Amino acid sequence: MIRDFHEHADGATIEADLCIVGAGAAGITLAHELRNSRRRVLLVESGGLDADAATQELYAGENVGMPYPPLDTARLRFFGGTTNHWDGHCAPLDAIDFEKRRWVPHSGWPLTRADLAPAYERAQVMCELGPCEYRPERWGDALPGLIDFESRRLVNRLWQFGPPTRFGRHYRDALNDAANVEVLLNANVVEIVVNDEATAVRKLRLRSLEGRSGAIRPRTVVVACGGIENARLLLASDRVMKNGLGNANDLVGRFFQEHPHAIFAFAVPAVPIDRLGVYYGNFAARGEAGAAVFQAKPGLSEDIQRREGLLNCCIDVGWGYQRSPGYLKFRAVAKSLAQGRMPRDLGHAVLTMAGDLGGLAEGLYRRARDQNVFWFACSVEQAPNPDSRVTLAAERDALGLPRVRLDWRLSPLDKITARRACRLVGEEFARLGLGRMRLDDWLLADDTTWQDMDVRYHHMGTTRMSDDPKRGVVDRHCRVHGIDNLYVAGSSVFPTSGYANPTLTIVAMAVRLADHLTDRLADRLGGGNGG
Amino acid sequence: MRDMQPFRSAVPRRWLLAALATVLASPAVPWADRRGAPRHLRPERLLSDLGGARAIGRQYLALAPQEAAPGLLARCLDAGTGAGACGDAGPERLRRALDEQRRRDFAAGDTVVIDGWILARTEARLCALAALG
Ligand SMILES: Cc1cc2nc3c(=O)[nH]c(=O)nc-3n(C[C@H](O)[C@H](O)[C@H](O)COP(=O)(O)OP(=O)(O)OC[C@H]3O[C@@H](n4cnc5c(N)ncnc54)[C@H](O)[C@@H]3O)c2cc1C
Repeated sequence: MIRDFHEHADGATIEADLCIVGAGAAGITLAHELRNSRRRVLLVESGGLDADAATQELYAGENVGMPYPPLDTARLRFFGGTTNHWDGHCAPLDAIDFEKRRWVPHSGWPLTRADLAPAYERAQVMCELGPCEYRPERWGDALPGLIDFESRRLVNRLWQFGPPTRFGRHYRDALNDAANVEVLLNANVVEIVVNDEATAVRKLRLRSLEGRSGAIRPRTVVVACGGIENARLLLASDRVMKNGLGNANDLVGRFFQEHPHAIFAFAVPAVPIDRLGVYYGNFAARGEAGAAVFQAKPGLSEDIQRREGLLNCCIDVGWGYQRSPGYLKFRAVAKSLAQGRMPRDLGHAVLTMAGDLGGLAEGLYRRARDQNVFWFACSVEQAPNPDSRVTLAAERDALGLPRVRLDWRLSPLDKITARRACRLVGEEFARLGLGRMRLDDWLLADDTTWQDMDVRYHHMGTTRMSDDPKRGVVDRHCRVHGIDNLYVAGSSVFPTSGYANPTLTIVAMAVRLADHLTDRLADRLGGGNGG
Repeated sequence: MRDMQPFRSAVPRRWLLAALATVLASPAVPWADRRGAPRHLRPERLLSDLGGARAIGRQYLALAPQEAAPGLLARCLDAGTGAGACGDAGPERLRRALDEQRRRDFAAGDTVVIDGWILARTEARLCALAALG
């Protein structure tokens, strides 16, 4: 059932076996997995079924570190969460991403890739992807044109493309029809209230923008508000624990990670551009394993990561006549118009083109002469950095909650890895006669600066996972250390980020958490799973 | 503007492409054995755009000044390619030997970055030889 908070009496207290706070990829997956069980599941969502400016404004915050887009545009606050405009590009983490790597301080998950394998299978279905098969060799001739890299240096990594699944729209009916699930819209959790010992959650305080308040008395709570907001809610719930919940060791909000992304090289092609079609995305393939839509990317082999002490990284390969912002914007606008769609944010596009007339002109000239180049961008893992963090700002939002302050910081190894990966790709392109690469000056500079950084809106690490409470906010089951019935879902629990976009892993972890909660709720309430 | 850089850089792209097309242009200039490089390694026989090659070579020599001697460079190239064995067998065989060495350089990561371009050490040395010529 889907209801609005205003259908409850003002000041009402709602009981639930499990309360999930936030209906994005993580929260909806959890509720979907637990539908039709005997447990009463309450999925509380700040927004309604559609976007609304006043609710979205609750996400506004300060950026005080590396340049970052305004925080109220970097995520979405209504039913379906940020999947209302995600792109559906997915890849699982690699086995090495879970390891404690001596050369990556603060690395290591309390899980292995094998632990997550069954959940990844189910996550593929949730995200409407193809089979959970990311090994290129298993696709054989279905993926023609894969580059035969020297495998001790580079390997081909596969990504899959979903429709992309809009979780809100796609799973709305299933949740509405589930007898044990109530979705509560336009209800903001503004505080997690714990007992005096801070060992258990007693209730959640609710407020709406219209001034209505209420409470939830849950047996178990999962906070699934996104990678920044999870930390905000724990930090702001400071009535008993003065530094916020789960923060006895000053870890909540720290280790914020993104996927720094920037174009950093181009290559003059020595082969027809089409030859590398499988690297440009949206490549539909059908093999023995089934059908999927792919993108291949050159990635650092595990071997070279270990030998040279590098992070994980893969490289996007694209092509075009010009890669300046003005020309790229022109191309995007032209593509939308050709498809009969009005471009997203036309005003911004026009400004970008006007601000880069030289680049636009060169692009158009090269286009007229059909002179293409390959361009390369990196998707690099960010090394966990305790100083890269989310804290609370002095200013409060319309509900009285302190706004968030993001201080995003990178480390030298991030750029070292990007530079090395790019050079390896350049060497392999030259060795194989595919083209000759020129690296951008900023990439060669031996410092930590990045130019024209294009972030990915992946917010990770702020409630990191570790079995050791001194090193992590949550344990391997995503339970907040020291608080018996409080869990966190989403990429905030990732100790490290890999190069892969996070949502497939967010969904896999939510599936795994659903299994854990099914067992746990069964233990607590007695009886089986129901059904 | 950043995106125009490749086409305005100190080593113009036109030169680079011509010079590195690669190590395979037919000899445009008759060579003369004056400077101590073995006859078969005369750069004029291998590079189509000497001007471009020299510009690259000068930058390489700035990075590796200890190699600024034609004899030394030629010996390095010889050692890598076994080109000496080709003797006067003709530019075709020499070009093949250099091309193979170039590939080996790339595979081994024996490369240099000059003005942003990634060059095999062999390519850079050949250009340096041209610059000294
Ligand atoms: C433009 C863009 C493109 C992207 N493309 C990709 C991609 O291709 N691949 C990929 O893997 N990822 C992509 N992402 C990231 C992806 O969208 C997120 O990783 C994913 O949505 C996170 O899921 P989540 O459930 O943790 O958080 P969200 O989806 O953000 O959901 C959080 C939910 O919690 C609700 N909420 C917040 N606070 C409260 C509160 N106090 N009380 C009640 N409810 C609350 C919010 O309203 C929201 O519905 C993209 C993101 C953007 C912005």
